Amino acid sequence: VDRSLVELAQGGDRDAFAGLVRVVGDRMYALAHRILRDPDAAQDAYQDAMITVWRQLPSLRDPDRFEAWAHRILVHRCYRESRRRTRLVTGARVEDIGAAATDTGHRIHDRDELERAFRGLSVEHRAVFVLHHHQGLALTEVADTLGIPAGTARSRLHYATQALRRALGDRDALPVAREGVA
Amino acid sequence: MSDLTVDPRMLDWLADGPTRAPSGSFDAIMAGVAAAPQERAGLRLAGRPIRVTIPQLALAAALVVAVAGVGVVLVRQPLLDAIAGPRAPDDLLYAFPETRTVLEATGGPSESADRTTVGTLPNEAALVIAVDCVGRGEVTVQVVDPSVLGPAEGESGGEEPTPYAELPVRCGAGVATLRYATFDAPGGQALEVRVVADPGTTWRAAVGQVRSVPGKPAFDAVQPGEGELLLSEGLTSPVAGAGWTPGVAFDPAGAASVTLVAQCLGDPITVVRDGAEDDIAGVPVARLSCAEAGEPQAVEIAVDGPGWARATSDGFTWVRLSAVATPADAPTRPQAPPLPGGLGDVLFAEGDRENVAFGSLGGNRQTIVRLDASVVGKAGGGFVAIAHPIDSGATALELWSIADAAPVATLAIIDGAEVFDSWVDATHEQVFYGTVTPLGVGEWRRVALDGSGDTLVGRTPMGLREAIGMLAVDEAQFVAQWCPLIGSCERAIYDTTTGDVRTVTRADDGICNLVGVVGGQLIAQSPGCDAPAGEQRITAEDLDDGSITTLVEGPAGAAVFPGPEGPQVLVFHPGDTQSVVEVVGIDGTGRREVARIDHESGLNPYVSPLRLPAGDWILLAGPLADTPTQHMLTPIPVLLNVVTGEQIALPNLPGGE
Repeated sequence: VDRSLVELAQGGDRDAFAGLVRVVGDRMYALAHRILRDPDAAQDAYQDAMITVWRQLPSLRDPDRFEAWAHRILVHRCYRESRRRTRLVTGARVEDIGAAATDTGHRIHDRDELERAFRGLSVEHRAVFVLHHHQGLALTEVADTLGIPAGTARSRLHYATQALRRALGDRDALPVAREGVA
Repeated sequence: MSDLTVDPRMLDWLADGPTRAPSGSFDAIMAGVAAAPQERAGLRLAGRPIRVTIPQLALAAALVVAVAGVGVVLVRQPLLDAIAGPRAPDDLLYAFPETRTVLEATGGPSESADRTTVGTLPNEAALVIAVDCVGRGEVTVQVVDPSVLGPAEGESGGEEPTPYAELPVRCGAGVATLRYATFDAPGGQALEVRVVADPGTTWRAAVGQVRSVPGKPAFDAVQPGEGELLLSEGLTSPVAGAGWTPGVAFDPAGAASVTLVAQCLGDPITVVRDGAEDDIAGVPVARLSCAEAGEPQAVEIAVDGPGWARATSDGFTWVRLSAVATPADAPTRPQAPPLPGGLGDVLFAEGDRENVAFGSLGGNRQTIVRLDASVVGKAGGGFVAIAHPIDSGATALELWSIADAAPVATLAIIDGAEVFDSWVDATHEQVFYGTVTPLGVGEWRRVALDGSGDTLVGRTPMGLREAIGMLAVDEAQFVAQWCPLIGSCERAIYDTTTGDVRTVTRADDGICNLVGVVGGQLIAQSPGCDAPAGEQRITAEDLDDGSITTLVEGPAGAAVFPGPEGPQVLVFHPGDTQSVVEVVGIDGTGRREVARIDHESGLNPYVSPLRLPAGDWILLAGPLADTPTQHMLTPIPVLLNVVTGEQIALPNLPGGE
């Protein structure tokens, strides 16, 4: 991300911020989608996060860390969006299941199992897995992005990985306590 | 020690998914940004943040108070037009005779940085803010919201209000002006003008209000021409000078041309579109007169990729920009290979909630129709039911002809509930549709193709653990079933020939996915989704007596398809390096292997819900719609022959990007 764009946007330049949205927007949305597994929820989290990024941009100390900082805001918006939608379960359940009837009912192969297992993880575990395996961040970078200890990031990654391996039929992938293995 | 090894299938699965944000997101974000002030962490001069500690800020504030008496600060109340004479040449607003002065102030020189509030801006006004200064350094004029202090997090503790607009002025360079409009101010709050001056500078500022500005117009909706697609429709925004406005974003994939449609009222505007990556100001592409209210004016632009456009005004103008595309004359995708058994003529309709794509399996062109918040159901017989909101706030469920990409009948108008899916039963000329209320009460209903005979099939109570509906592959029944949080699970079975409905109480048999309904059997992945792999199986449940037959043991994916000798179940057994594809009858007989597919070959993992003619072929494909927001990393669609294992790739359809 161009540092000068960040600096201009920090100064209140909305054109520059629009440029930033164009540069990082697709990646941000893709990240939200992979964590939340729901296009509507991902869109809400992404849009909300970008407006928060704009509002809080002046507080960013190092413009070179813009994208990591924006990711942190986005992941926290994903947490919030996930919990918000969980609370609305009675209003969305039928629609969700109606959609699932056509989607998972026709998905084949092990993606079914992976999807089910991943949705069974907490959003915090999903975020670590996605940041590490989709965004390519090292565990220390994941921890830094999420503001959690490296050991916690590692244990969440371990738990998520084990859950997905079990979904693929790996009997050696034994259940573990969610935060228990570092 | 933790085992963090991942299976490559996990990474493939994770990589799958959208790679682009929905087209409407950019506009939504920038509209939010337009209304959202930034939370300031500290003073900012010349675009560089200056970190100031709280003690430093307190000291600076004390100094400002101390030196206030050094300069002369005059804040004048608005003058009445009646007594405002011609402007003198030394008037800061001399070049703006269309304005009347509403605020004036002077200040400096001070011994330290000085911040002065010039006054409160009138609401619903177009304004010119003029400032001039002498001395070494610069002054910055700001429009601020005094009620919003920021940031919530940060070093300064949030003492300073947030500038909505600001203009730095180098002293001695002449009068500088900033146009600003207070229409649509967030929350309708009062905004102030402030001047931040370097030490040793003497300045004067004036605010002029444009005497006569048009009220916010209600522009007519843009109507794309025949065969055109409305890519984006912007907001009606007040544009003052070169000030920032949201504009409109567009993605012209597959378009021969993109036309910006500008509707405007007020002073002339310049339409600007994005330039090179480092040219954030953009490139002017057209000058437009805005004397005639809302008359749509077309500006053709080059189609070289996704972009944006916005407008600047010579003065003050209400502007709405929209983007309309003309599909390319030449298809942008290759032709399909020869397809057997009339498969090329199979029609499909798919939506992405913004657009609906109508096409055929053998075609390399699709008709895209913009239909916001639309829900596209399961097609049958060349028709599909599409639900979308209408002006009254209700939802219209319409029957569309896929070949014509046009509605042919209104099936139902639904108030107080959303349509989440629909199924066209072409054999019996009827449509089934499901609705859900905000309280979570679901209904499945049946209506004839002409909109008559709308009847209830099943209704759930509030509070559900599961609910699902499906039209049988052979269109013999429509089945809906649900389990409430408290109470028994139920199933409603609608006989599509007689119209009889019977509702039965059933055991909570722990279905994870309903694969399909065919031949009076309900094919499912069982038991519940949390079951260990060793307990998973594909089952067939008799709709009449509830007896359950296990078709395949172990974890597997499945789909029901109308095979050459009647309906069959396709089963995929995942392996480490290859998957085994089998076919089994719905009674569990005739199980046979039809293919082994190496993962290295890039197996397409989706069985498309598109219904094909009875035969040997199934379609493995992700989304087929070529809509602007449907950019998926799905493999290229493939037709698979379940007898021979032959595969035919379909490069004429989206996939493989």
